[in-house]
Amino acid sequence: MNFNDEFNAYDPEALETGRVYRILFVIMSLLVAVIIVRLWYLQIYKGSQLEYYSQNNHLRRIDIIAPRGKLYDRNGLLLADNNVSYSLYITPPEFKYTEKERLSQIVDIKVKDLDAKLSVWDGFSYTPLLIDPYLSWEQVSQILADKPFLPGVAVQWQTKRFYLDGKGMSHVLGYVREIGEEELDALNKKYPDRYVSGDFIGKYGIEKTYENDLSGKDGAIVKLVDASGKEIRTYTYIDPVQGESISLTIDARLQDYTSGLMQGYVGCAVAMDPATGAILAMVSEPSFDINNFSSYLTPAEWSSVANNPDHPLENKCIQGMFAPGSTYKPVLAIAGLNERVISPEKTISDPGYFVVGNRVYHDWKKGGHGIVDMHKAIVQSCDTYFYRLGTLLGVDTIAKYARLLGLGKPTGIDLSSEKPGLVPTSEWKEQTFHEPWYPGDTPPIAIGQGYDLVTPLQLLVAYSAIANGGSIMRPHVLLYPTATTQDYIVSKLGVNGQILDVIRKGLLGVVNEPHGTAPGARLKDIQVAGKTGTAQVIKEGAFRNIPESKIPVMYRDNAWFVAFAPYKSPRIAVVVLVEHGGHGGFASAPIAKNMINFYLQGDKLQ
Amino acid sequence: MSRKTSLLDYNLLLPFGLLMIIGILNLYSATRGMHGTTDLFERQLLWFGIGIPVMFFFAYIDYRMLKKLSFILYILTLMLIVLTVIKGRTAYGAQRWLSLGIFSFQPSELAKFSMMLILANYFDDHWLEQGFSLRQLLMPLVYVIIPAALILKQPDLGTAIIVILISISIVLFCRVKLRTFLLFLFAFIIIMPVGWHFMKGYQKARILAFADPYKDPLGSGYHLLQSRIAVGSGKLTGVGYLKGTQSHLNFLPESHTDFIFSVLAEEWGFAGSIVVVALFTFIFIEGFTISRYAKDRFGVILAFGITMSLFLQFFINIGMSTGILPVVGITLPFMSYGGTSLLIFMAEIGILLSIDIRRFRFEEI
Repeated sequence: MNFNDEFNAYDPEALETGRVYRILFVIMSLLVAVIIVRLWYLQIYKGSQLEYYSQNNHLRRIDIIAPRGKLYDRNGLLLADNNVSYSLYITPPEFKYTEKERLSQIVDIKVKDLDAKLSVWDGFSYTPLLIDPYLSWEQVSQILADKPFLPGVAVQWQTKRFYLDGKGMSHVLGYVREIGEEELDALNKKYPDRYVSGDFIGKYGIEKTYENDLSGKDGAIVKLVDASGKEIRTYTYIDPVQGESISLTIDARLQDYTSGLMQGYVGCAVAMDPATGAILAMVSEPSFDINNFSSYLTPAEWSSVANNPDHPLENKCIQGMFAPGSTYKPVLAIAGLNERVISPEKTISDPGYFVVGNRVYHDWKKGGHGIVDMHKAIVQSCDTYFYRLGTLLGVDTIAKYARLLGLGKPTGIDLSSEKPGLVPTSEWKEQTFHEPWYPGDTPPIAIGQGYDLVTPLQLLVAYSAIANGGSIMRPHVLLYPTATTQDYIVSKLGVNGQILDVIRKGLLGVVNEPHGTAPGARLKDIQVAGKTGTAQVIKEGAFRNIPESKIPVMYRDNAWFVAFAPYKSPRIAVVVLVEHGGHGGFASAPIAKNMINFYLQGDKLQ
Repeated sequence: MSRKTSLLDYNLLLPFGLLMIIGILNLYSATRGMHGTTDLFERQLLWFGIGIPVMFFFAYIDYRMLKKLSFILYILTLMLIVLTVIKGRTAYGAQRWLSLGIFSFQPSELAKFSMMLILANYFDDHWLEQGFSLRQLLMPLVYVIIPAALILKQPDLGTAIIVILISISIVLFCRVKLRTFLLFLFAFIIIMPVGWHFMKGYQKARILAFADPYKDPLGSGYHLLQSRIAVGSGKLTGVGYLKGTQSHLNFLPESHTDFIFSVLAEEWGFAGSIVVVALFTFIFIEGFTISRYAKDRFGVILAFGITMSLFLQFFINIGMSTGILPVVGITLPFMSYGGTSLLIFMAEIGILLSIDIRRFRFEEI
């Protein structure tokens, strides 16, 4: 192959060519010289100084925990803010271990615990270790006074979560605590560089659900330190960025008021806007102090909360599962009308008991209610009517409507640890107990005393659907300004409006008619509709083997009341559960009435 | 065949071989202290192993074949870069790699080579003894802008800068009219602020950090300060092989790629740094000499382009390690970790050898 003809020959001896290369060599030599001079400058001239930096390297970073976003109620009232707290840090390579005693006396920490905290040191790092996140002001001043004896000990201020009302809305707001090691690993995988050891994260309630929005971006102080690790000067300061503030649907005044009403009871109360699912108030009693929980908790404080038999840490509104009692009856009424097994006008004669096989199921009223139609059955909470209706429907049809009303599965509220409740079916019993569904199992179901379990919030969602014309709403605590009602509709009941009218009229009668079960919920200016429930407390162990009829009647039943108002265009729906409160009409209805009155009348006054 | 071996340019091969050995030893040190990434060193050894036959292959084939291939290679490179932008593997937020099963390929490295080939081809065909004016430079301008823009999009500021600088060097080398030169200079001054506007935040931060690294010592200025400390602490004779603390204790990030020189400077001091600078300088002198005495114009321009690209990367990389230039991710030839770049550099050394061999014997080979 010969390329010669195609290729353009070149004369290296040409005068012009020589000039180009001379220029090239001059430029190259200059640039290489620049590099050599620079190397000489750094390595020879400045070498000793830079070597010193290198040996004592040199920058220390102290993280500044970012303040969390604030929490507000629906009217812009501040619920949670941040204030300053002081924490104790030790830089292990600087710390005099002989001074452990002195330090342990000042900060009230056992030497053994101090050793444990210091044992995580990797052997060379100058990164300070967090020893005590909450120093009192006295401890801070004592440490500052003893500073000459305590090298490597530093007091660092940082922002700390602060709740304006520590006890009134603990279960909604939740609390923050120091991030655990496993959590840190998991979060670091998800959000690299976002969390560091010592950060506080939301562990419960809104703080947990919206951790991602509420937590900010940590800042840092970077310090230049010398060979002994002593700080020479601050190198740089990176501002922490506060997390996003969020508003809640909670009405702080109603919440506070409700919390007051519930004092001394064990139980819970929830108020919700039935049209939107916005939670207006949510109280679970007994409560606990989230300001304590979000800072240093003494072992005694912890055990008093943890060992309380009434489970203060549990949000009973969503974590408590209870037998619904008579509040379950509207579920059957809707099922009966929609399945056309009964009409509203159809009457039965109630002798005070109902017989299935050789078992007898008693009505709560001795001697019975006489001639009963659906309206009267709801108003007077006639058991016999619903025993019969339940038997006509069968367990699986009841379950179908219970599920349509949102029971048996979590409501989807934006709070953690929500329980699903339980809607029994024949298949469920087969799987759980390996027994068929007996006809005698159905009557207890019909009056909410069987296997059914609901959370108070589930019940509230179901009643809200009755109130709002059949929309199952997703209850929520976050006030999302651009969301529409449509966004919170989980499903539609799919039942004729006339059917719901019958139920609603019945519920109105419960409160307002002469023989209704909840006269205690009656208000002068506002039409309240609702349903009482008086649920026997059944211990779970006994639940399995003892037949319903043989369980001794307990004196202290759970008292339910579910209501909505005003009747014509409901703006608030309320559920109140008082554990061991006795009859729902006496214990719970007045609380619900007061909540409704406070909310609606209060609005009118504005 | 034996005749060809004897024709190999040992003035080029010897400094290259020494640099290769120093590079391997130094990379071992740089990667040793890192957790779980020691296979980087073995991977790079493998690349050297592949690179040596590739280098000799290019030494033995006639480089003039490349002139014929230049356009096809250019188009292929563009396609690969586009593919990378679309579905490349991301590292540090930039899409620079194309995954090819067990290893990945960085097309932007290939772009530097394709660029000099197509420019050498163009100027060879359109040679003007009296220098080029604007009209003749339009086509080369298009050649440069397309890959440069795509590489910027990845974003890989460093490689884009190298591609542009190589192209400018080649144009200047082929001589332009003074008026045209001034026009381009003027256009550059106009475009600068616009370019600044389109830079990514971190790229701006790096350039600002160069102006004042102490402003943000743990952020954008961190590399600069740490590298300066690493280099300086080497003093005259260095802290000793495998004993560099700055790179091993992870004070200096990217010590095996962009800041490989800092590892060498810390461990071998001023003496070791000078040796490396000298070896590189021998390669540059020899490369430019090969360019000067090449038999044809294509060879002249190609040898110049190859040598210039080595020189530019050498100068910018060491300049950035020693804090006289801003941090733009540019690797040091033969020393930094990176398979694609090493392979292409070795191929380029092979081409220099090939141009050198063929200056005497066009016909026989």
